[in-house]
Amino acid sequence: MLRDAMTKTTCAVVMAIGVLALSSSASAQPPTTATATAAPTGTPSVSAQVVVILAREIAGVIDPRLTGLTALREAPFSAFHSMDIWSEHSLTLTQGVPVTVDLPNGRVIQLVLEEVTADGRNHVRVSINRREQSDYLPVLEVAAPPGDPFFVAGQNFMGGMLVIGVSMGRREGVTAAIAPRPRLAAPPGLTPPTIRH
Amino acid sequence: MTESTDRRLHRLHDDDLTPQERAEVESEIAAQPELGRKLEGLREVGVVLRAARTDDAPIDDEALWSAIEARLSAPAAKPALRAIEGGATRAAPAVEDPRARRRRLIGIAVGTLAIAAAALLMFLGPPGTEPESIAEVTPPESAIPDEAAPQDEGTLPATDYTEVLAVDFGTNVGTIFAVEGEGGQRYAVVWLDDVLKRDESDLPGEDAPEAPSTPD
Repeated sequence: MLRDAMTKTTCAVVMAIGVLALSSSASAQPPTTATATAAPTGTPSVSAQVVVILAREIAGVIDPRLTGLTALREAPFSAFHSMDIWSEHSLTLTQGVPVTVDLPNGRVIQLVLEEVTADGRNHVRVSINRREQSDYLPVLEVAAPPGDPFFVAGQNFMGGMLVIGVSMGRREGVTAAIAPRPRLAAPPGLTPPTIRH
Repeated sequence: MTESTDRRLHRLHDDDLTPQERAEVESEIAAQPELGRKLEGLREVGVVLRAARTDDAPIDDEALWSAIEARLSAPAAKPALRAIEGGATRAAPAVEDPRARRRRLIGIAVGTLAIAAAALLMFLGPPGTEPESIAEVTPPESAIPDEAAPQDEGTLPATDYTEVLAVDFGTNVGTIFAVEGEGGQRYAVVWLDDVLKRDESDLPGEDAPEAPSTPD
């Protein structure tokens, strides 16, 4: 019985992904613009937080919301004396549905929840590229416990480097590693980031 | 001066002449003052060599090897050096939380495997290939739950750590490592060199944004 149920679930997921792929190609939109309606009801989903940090070696301040992230004070991050949260994005990742966030350097980070593993970790597939290109990070797959962030760093930007922190879910009884915002006023001249679900 | 005279001078210096030979050499020295200076030079060299030796006692091979073996078999002395983990300066807790230690060890293992995989990918995988060149990182053996071994109460599940399952750096050069969180968690970091030059990395267009101001 259990095997039948798993088989049905697998078929449903495969069909959902197939439908998603077909709808994406049919509408000539990049796969990053999938809509939430493509996910069937009951598909696993998890909240996620993406924080884009501009880290620079010049003297400056560390955004107080990052003070809880002692990991960013470890080497090699300790070389950066200035860290500003460029943007924060609260997302909902639904299994098999790509979600994208525009980065300030013109690239796009795409996240796809592959599965919630049996041990409770969130298996996510990440890519960072220019649209329609594969110029930076084609594929990264990470399985992370709820609330534990992982980081992608190295993109040059504005005389510094972008550090992108991604965390999914929240560990029970533990506050978020990245303190929730009070909302930032959009910096002058900055177009608010686009989030596509 | 013949060669035999030099040899005799050495033998005289070494007190290795018969009384007759000694008498002959000494008479030669008396006749030729340069031979006396040469003998004096030999004596000075002898003094210097003897002064350089701090121990005139013969070397006892047996005692020497016994001492070496004793040193080798003795328990290792506490090393003067200690391993220092990279990162921020911090005081080590007196008693480390076993959870944190477990996670740290697992994280280190994962990080090591990940770095090894990334290095393999960089050296073996041709740049620019499609994602079939994904490097897979398997969990460390110690992190695989052992069904036969019951979990101690209070220990974390064996998979309570971040795992980089696959990565494709494309045309870039990258590495994977871990940094430590406040509670000893190991957070994965993927670090890629950016092929974009600095002037390309800023926003395209004329109105480049200013960096956000830090809130008060």
